[in-house]
Amino acid sequence: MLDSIIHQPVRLRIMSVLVDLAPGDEVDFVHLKKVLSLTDGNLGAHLLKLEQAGYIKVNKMFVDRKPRTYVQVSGVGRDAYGAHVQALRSIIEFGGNGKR
Amino acid sequence: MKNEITVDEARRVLGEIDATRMRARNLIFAEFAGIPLMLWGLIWAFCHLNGFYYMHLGRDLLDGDPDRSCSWVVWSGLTVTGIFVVAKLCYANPVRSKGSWIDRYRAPLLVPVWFAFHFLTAGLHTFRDGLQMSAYHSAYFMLMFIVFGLLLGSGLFFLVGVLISCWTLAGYYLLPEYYHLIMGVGAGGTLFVAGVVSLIRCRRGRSVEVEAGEGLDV
Repeated sequence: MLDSIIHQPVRLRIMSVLVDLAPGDEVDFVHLKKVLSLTDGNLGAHLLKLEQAGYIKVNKMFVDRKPRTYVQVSGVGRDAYGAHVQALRSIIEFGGNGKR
Repeated sequence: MKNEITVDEARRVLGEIDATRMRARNLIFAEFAGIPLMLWGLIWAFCHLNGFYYMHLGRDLLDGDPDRSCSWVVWSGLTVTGIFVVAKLCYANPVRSKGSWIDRYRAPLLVPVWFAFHFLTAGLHTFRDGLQMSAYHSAYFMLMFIVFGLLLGSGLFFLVGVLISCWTLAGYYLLPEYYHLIMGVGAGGTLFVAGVVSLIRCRRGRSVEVEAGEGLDV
């Protein structure tokens, strides 16, 4: 079954980058912005949506006295992403229509 | 949100997922590889130009035979290790790993280990002369560049591998007298430029193009 939160193109890209990391690893907000070619506000809004769904965790901290934001995928997010990708594969395999 | 998607759409979405993952990996790799490539290019240029100077003028800037001296193995090992230490110090890793020490340093450690293995196994061969040995090492390393480029989907690494292989083969077979000059300028220059290109691409974040307005649908 397709997940409406993850299915949005930018959020899907965000999740695909995060899920590709080892469990527990977190990625810098600036790097994520660069990889996805998004603005601060745009990326922030999508991250907020994913965070509200419990799919990611956002950690804000100071590194060398500079504020840094790190993002990591949660266990729930990893499972939801896996199910979403599996649903996409099923659509291709069985020619279904992915009805929710 | 649409309630259903077609097979073609599903295929396109999966393709985008793979492409994004590959770009993210490439960006991290390119960011890390930029400085080592530049340093390696400079060292390669210096060593080969020294070899050319020695072959044509009978003097060695390093005060030793650059082709026959065994000390080059030690120097190579130290240089490669030094390059990666410098790169590690200059590189601000965007990924914070909570894994063990070995998980975090597995990839950087693999390269010096692989170099050491290569130099040790190269000792099993009998080379006709220093030129042949140099061309062998160069071709071997460039094969690795091509393989890594294909595995990682990095066009830059693949191109560097192909270009320097061409410099090596052309220098060795067609213009052996100018082999060191070709390798110093051509191969060293290619490595250096690849490092610069790698860093510029990372700074500009050119690895991804998102369609205008695509990200606005929150």
